[in-house]
Amino acid sequence: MSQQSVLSLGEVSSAELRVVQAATRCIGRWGLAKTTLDDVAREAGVSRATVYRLFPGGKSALVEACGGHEIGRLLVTLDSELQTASTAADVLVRAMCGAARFVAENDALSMLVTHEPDVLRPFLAFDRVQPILTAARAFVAPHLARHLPTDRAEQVAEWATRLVISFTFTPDRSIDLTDLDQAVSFVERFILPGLDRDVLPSPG
Amino acid sequence: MDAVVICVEQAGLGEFSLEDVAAEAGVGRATIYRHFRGGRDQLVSETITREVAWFWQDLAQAVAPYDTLEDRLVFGLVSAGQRLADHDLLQRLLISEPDRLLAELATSELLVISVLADYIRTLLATETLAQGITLDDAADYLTRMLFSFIGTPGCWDLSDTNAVRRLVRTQFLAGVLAE
Repeated sequence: MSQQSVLSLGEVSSAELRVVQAATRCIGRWGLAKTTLDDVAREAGVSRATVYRLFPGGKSALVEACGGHEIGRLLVTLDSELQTASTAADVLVRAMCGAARFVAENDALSMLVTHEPDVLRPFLAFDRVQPILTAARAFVAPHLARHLPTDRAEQVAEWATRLVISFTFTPDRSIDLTDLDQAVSFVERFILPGLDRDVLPSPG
Repeated sequence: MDAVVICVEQAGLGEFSLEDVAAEAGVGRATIYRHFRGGRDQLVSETITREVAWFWQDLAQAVAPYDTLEDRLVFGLVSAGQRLADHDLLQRLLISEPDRLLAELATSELLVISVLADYIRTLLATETLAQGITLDDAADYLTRMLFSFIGTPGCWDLSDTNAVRRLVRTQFLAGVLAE
C-alpha cells in the first residue's frame, strides 16, 4: 500500500518511504556530509542496489525526497492548528511559529540548518524552491481563504512560506519565530499592514 | 575568467579543461596556475563570484535612475527576473549541472545578502519608516524578501510591472514605510 506524500510532492511507494525515513534518521545523527548511501541502505534494511534503483539521482535526489517528506509532515502537523485559527493573522502566526518549531525540534533539519547550511542552500535556490512554495501555498491558502479573497489567500500563503524559509536558513539575531509573542509581533508589523491595504497602482 | 565563461559555455562546468581556458585566453598554462593556485576549482569559484557581483552591480545601475525605494524595488524585481531569464549560460547550467552550479552560488550567498542589506539600508535612509520599525528591522526584512524572489518568482509574473508594484506595495513596503 503506497503512502501518499502530501500534496504535489509526489506519490511515494512504501519502499521509498522506508529509505527516506532511514536517510532522515542518518542525517539527524551524523549530518549530510557524513551520511553515505551505504549507511542509508543499512539503516533501511535494504541493499545498496535497492537504494540506487529507487533514487537513480543518487544522494542529491534522496535528500530532495527527504526534504519533501519532512515538509509534507510539517504541513500535516499544522493542519489541525490552522483549522481553528480565527483570523488571517492567526493562521499566519500559527503557520509561521509552527513551522519554525517543527524545524527546531526536527533532528535532521536542525542538524542541517545548524551545521551544514551551505549544503542546504542549493536545495532552496531558483527552481528548487518552487515545489515547496507550491505545496505550502496549496496547503495554507484554503485556511487563509476563510478570511481573505481566494487570490489574495494564495499570494499571502506564498508570502509567509518565503519568510519561513528565509528565517529558517538565515536566522535573525532579533527575531525568533519559535517564540509565539515574537511571531505575533512579526506578523503584526510586517504582514498585517499589507493585508489591510487595498492597493491599486496609479494609472499611467 | 572571460575565457572560463566561454569554455564553460562550450563544455559545461564539469568538463572544461585548463588547457582550453589557456588557449582561449591566449596565455600559457603556467600563467593560469600562477594566478589560480587552487586550479580548476578556484577558477570556477572566482568566475562565478565575479558573475554574481556583476549581476548585482548591473542591477544597482539599472535602478539608479529611480528616486523612490518603491520604484527601485519594482524595477529591480522586473529587471532581475528578465536578466536571469536572459542569462543563457545560467539557464543551461541550471538544467545540465544544477548541483554544481547551485553549490557554487551557495558559497557566496551570505556575502550577497550582506552587501544587499547595506545597499537597502542606504536606500531606506531617505524614507520614513513605520512606527515600531527600526532601520535594521526594515533592511533585514526587505533583503530577505528581495533575495527570496531572485530566481524564484513563485506565483508572480515578474514581467508584469503592475503586478510587481502591487507585490512591492503590499508585501515589501506596507509594514515598513509610514503611510
